[in-house]
Amino acid sequence: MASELIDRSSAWLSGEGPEAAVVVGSECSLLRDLADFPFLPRCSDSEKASIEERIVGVLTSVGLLDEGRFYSLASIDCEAEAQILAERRLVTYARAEDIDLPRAGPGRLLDRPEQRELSATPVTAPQGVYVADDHSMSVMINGPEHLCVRVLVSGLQLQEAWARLNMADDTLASALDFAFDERYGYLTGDLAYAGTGFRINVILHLPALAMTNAVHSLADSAKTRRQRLQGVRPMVAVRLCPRPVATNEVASDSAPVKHLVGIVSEAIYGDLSGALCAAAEDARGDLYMLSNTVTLGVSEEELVFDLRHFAAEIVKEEQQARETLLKEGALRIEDRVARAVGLARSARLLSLSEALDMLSSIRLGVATGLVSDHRIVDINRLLLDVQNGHVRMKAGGPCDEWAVSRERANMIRARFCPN
Amino acid sequence: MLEGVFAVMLCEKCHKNLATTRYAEVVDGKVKELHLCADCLAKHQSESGAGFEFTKPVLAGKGPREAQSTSARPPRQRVQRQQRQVRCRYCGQTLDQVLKSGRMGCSTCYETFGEYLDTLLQDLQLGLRHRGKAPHVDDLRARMHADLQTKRALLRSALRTENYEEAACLRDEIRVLEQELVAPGKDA
Repeated sequence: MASELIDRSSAWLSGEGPEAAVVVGSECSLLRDLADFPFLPRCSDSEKASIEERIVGVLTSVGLLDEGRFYSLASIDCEAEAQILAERRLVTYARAEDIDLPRAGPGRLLDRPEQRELSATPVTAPQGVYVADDHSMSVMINGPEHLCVRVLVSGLQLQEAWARLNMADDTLASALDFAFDERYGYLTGDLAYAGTGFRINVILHLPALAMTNAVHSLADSAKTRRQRLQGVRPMVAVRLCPRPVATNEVASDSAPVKHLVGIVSEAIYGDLSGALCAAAEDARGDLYMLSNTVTLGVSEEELVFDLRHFAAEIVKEEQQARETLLKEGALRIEDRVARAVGLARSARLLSLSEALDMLSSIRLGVATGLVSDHRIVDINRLLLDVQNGHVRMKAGGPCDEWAVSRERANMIRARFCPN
Repeated sequence: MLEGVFAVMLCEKCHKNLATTRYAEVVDGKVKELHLCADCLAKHQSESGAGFEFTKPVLAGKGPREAQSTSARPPRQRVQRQQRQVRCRYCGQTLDQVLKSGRMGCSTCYETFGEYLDTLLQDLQLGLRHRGKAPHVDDLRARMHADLQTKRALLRSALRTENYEEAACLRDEIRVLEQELVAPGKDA
């Protein structure tokens, strides 16, 4: 259940991969659709159920995730799990703007009569997901396409991630028939993923470049290479799922009652296409995501090569900027880190944005040796623990925004106060 | 009945002159429309400074689709209205829906809308031909698929000719083949 999810640590946050001081983690995803069914927006509920049954059957028989578990996310009772899985980047949410729901605050259920028309809206959050025990791999079913396989690694290890993903794809292709065309490649519902269906995201921590206002030019440079550098920040994300039909509502064969509920939460890390990222200048916690923007007309190896090289360039620039700042403005960095530690030790209420900014300063302190009693892996794990779903789970149940801020601050104080 | 008479509007800014232009602005994905006279239109454009150019490509938008340089019209406008009503024979998705949402309905849509796809894809992607990996097609599976197609066609003609015994046999054979394709080696 959700509590066991929290207890497992995500391998990709171990802080042990190459360039882990700058690259938090890398992620590769492959989107596939089955040849025998229409794409998701045109699928009936029974077709979706057949797709899920078929994929789960194949996953079990090929033993792809021998050490893993299947989580069904079809009902609203699974909201706690869904949010934790999204925060660990194992499932995707959709951006609230893309779904056209009326605005609501984080953590609230939307259920009004006008929501019933949502059945025509593409549902992008998966209805079920198979997750490896160390959270390094997930297979999403029926969201955003029929099948989305994702591999997460620590640091900058794109070739290794691609190798593992490729093998998983070949294993699945031996038992499933993917929609494929000689000319257009793997056929997906979303045209932006046609061809290779391959999406790479690299999560970077760039405090020094942010301090020297150098990120904008990197974002421009990314565009010329058909890539995109965006800022990560908390945004309102939405997961749609069917609401149980109440006893007094009758569904007739000619007009089945379709109720979709939008569950709204504030999150970072909940996206596939970078949809929860904003422009580079709006990043919080100095966190950025580098992704590819094209999938057709280029091979998977080329995409890995291009992204790996640009990411390595960015890492080098960040490290140089850190060295320069330490040489010429050491006091500035020391002050920033010390203030962050002070906040961590005394705050009584902490919002997600504040916590991310504070953790960014402390992470910079750890990387530059100014903070010696914490490691990169501790800060990486805190990046997860401060998120809303994780805080609510630790608090032991549903709580309002005040309670979440309070619990978050309590947790941070406990970690940073000297004993 | 007032047919063929279109509404006469006053400019929404000055409320004095007749509106001669419909000016639409897209900000953060939301469309704002104003009906303006020539003077107010000129004033509005010089004030906002954006005019008809994209000053900054939209990044925080609908996924990887970026607003490229302005030389091309939006894909939907490059396809004529009648052509947009072309419908996929398998799932019913129209080209208009594809152009609006950027999503296809099924694999057959790629075949149905093939000639119009290039219009869309040239904005989204680097090339128009796949250069990546292909699924490893098992010879056995390919043969089973071909066998399945044949049997289904035979079933259809058996039903048409009211040959129900043969239809029943074919139906059972089809079921076995489908099972085998879905769960290979299960009933071996």
